[in-house]
Amino acid sequence: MQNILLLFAKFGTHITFLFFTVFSFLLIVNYNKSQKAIFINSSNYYVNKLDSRMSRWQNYLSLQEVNDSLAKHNSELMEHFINFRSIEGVILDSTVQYDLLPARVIRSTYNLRNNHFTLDIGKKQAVEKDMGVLSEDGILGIVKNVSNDFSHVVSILNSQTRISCTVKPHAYPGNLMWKNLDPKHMTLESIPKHVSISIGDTVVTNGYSTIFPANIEVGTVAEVKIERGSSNYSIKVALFNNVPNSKMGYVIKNQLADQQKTLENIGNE
Amino acid sequence: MNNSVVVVNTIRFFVLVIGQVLVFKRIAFNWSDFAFIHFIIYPLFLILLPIKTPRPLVIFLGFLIGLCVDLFYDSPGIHASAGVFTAYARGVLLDFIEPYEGYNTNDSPTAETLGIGWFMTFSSILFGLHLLWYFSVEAFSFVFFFEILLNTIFSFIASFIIVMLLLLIFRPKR
Repeated sequence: MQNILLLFAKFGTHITFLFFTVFSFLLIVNYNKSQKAIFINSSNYYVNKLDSRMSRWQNYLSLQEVNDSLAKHNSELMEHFINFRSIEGVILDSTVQYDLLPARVIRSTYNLRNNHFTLDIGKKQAVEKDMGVLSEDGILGIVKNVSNDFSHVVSILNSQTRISCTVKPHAYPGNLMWKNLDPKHMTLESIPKHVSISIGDTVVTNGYSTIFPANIEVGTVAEVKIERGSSNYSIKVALFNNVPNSKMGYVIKNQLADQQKTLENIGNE
Repeated sequence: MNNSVVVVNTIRFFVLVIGQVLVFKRIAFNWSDFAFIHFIIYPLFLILLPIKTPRPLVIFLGFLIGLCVDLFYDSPGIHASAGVFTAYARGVLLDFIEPYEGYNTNDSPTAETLGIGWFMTFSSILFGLHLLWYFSVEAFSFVFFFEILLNTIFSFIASFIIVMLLLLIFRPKR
């Protein structure tokens, strides 16, 4: 016992340093291994309360801007509505597959390697894990954690993002990911190089997963490259939406997701 | 005397954490390809602790302030490990650049007590180390060596200017 005390008196600083370093690295590694194991995440109630108060202030200051974009968005929706009405009976006989739940972004990061943001709706509004989040003119991310009033979303500006997309006239599936730290561009990979692609083509989601519906416009082709020795393109995509600047998100609720997943799992067994 | 040191440092702890997460976290300069400026000011707390604070306690405080900041950055452990590292480096550095006459017991290392040159060396080395460690751990792999370096350099310049302004405005005595 006395020896241990002596040891601590002599090397106490080093021991504390080692102990806390190991401890904090344990935290980091647990966090990186799976998003599920996030131990202190933004679903945390008190942190959020403070943050939502702060962002209420910020929102107040930018009300005009939000109003403008909402008005524009509304007018577009009304346009669609009117168009559908005029050909009623031809299209509206199918069930409505997608519901959109509007939400406010109460905090977000965008200058780190792995970015997240938080929405002010949660279980009470029927948000569930693995739902997609859209903005007015593009995609924002995928819901990872839900608490009663908030949901925690992995932004598309995240090194782990893989979104199944394609370039407009073709149907070859590719993976959309975020490789550099630039919030306005992403990279589309694994589209075979015999497909002809030109700059300015539109990149859309292909709806292979239950997360995003098909044909949501994501961005345009900004640069086409073939890595040496690879048989696939590496395409730089300029996003339509400005992810860091998004104040509203629309969570997509796919009514048929369970049905599709169950069916696909039967195939796997 | 001893009591007021504790009170002053406690207040400083909270003010710096709150300032970091509510104000400086939200400032970011983004030009199209350039996102390397982050403002990180809370290590100032560790720099201004009294010189004779027991070093294990300094390390614990480094861990604590890092964890508080982590809560708001959604990155459990990253700032905490940087805080621990800075606190440890502070002890080593204090031994390394001790002035000829030695230190005065209850002093905080400030420009007033130890001279502007000494203080600049001390705080800039600690800030540089803190940022380098933080960005390395955040990337978690030296594949991103170039990004880590750019992040460190630009954030260091930005944060250090802010910290010097804060010190000029508040002129901490202890």
